[in-house]
Amino acid sequence: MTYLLSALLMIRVGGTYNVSTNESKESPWSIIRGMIFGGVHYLRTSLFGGLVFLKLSGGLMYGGIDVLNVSFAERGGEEGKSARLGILFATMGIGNLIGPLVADRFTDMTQPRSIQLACLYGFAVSVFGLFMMSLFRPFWVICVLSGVRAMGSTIVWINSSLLMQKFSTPNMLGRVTAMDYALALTGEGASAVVAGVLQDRGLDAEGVTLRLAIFGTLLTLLWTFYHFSGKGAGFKEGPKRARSNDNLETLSLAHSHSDS
Amino acid sequence: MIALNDVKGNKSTILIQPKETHLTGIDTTYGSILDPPKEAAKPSVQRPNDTGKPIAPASLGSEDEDGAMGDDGVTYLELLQRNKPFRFFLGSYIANHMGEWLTYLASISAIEKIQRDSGMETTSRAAISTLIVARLTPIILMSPFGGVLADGRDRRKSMIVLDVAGAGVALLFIAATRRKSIMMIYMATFLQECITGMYEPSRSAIIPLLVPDGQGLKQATTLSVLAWSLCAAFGSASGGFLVSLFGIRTCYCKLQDLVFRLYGDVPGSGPLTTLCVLSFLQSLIV
Repeated sequence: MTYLLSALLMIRVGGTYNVSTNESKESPWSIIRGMIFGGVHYLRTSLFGGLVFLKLSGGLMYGGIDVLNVSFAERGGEEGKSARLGILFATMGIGNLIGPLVADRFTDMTQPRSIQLACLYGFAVSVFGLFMMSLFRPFWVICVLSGVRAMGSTIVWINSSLLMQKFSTPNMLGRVTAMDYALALTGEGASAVVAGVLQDRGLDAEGVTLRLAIFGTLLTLLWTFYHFSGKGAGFKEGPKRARSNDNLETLSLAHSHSDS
Repeated sequence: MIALNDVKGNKSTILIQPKETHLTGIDTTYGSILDPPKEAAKPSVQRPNDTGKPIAPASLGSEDEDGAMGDDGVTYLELLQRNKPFRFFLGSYIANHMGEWLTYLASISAIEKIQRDSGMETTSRAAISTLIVARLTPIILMSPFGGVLADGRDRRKSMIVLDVAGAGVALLFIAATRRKSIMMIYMATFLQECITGMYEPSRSAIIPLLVPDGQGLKQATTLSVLAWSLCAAFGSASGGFLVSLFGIRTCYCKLQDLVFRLYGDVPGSGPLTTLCVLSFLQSLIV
């Protein structure tokens, strides 16, 4: 029923939202194949292509948390486990709510650099939360720190989406977000599996959290380097350079191919 | 002049000229960063305004002097108050996400029940892990096709069709529980997540088209992510509390009863409102 309700509401949205300029007479499969490769090619050759890995990095950092939350909630016995898990999720929800609203004050859509910088801060906040979670055992402290970590991860998620929406041309945005989403889920899944395996091998929740934090620190350092070396939206000259259909991009493509 | 392989694997040649780029062999039908501006084929985007009349193509590349989309200048509340299509979109998104969430939790419950009925004392972790794999794999595999769908077809219509397909797949879950077949649950989950993988790119990519001239893009994106995380986080949180207090069945029956009593007396509350509230409460407690 909820699906039908969703369809009903989308019908009420109204309008036409077709960005395709396809007038090709090719077979559907060759069109699909061409579009998929076209999307990959677009990301590979654009200045902002690397930004699709932002959510992947975030996913790798926090994907294991769901598994760890169960362990944190199990402390204190079976009785009240559901309630403790509920509290953990609730604090994460509060973090999810506060994070973007705080970051909103420091980002500006006309300054993509500020949005990319917000992603870096998001990573830093997440890593801080993870490190602290690995140090303290009281349940209420874990809850607060879960909220802090969730603040960071939502900041990364929202601002990386904004970067994609800003830089992608409308007729490429579907494929770009598809890639972004698929990579994010892959990261989350991989992180959850690793966290589960590490726990099965006898590592306690704090140990796994510490490893996630260390890995997160490495990723944050990598993205900091990426940002301050002027890549992605980290340029200083202004947004002109990032326009996705500039000749600059063509030249960048030409250089990359001539180098190879 | 440089040579490179095109998307079909053929050798292509690029001529770099001061202001123009000519490509041979690269399929640029759907646009590429290398495209020269096209005059002949234009995308068809018509976003209705609050009166329902179509208005000019909205945020397609509307840029300010610096080449960036204009910054917002709208608050979250203003966006929700003024932008009727976005309001409906957000409602649809919440409903869709609840549907997904409900079916996921219902699948876990069904697996537990089937295993209990077959004499197992505890639920097999492997069975739940398989369910998680059956959920993640199709999304990752189908996302590229979802991207193609979002860029090649009307995003709104794609979402409607996929919603209806999702409702159809939900019927498979009912059949699976009746036949007590875990394998059928996996298959239904797989199909449902294939639909999610196709749906998600259209959902994300329609947002910039729903906000005129990019105004409120940041707010719109933030609101949609917040709706997602709040549904998941507070749904689980409230579910955890209520279940620990009353138990699943008591909880569901009591709340259902309460909703019918409350909404039966509220003037103007139609079946749709009741359905929305019921669905929401169900998502909280399952």
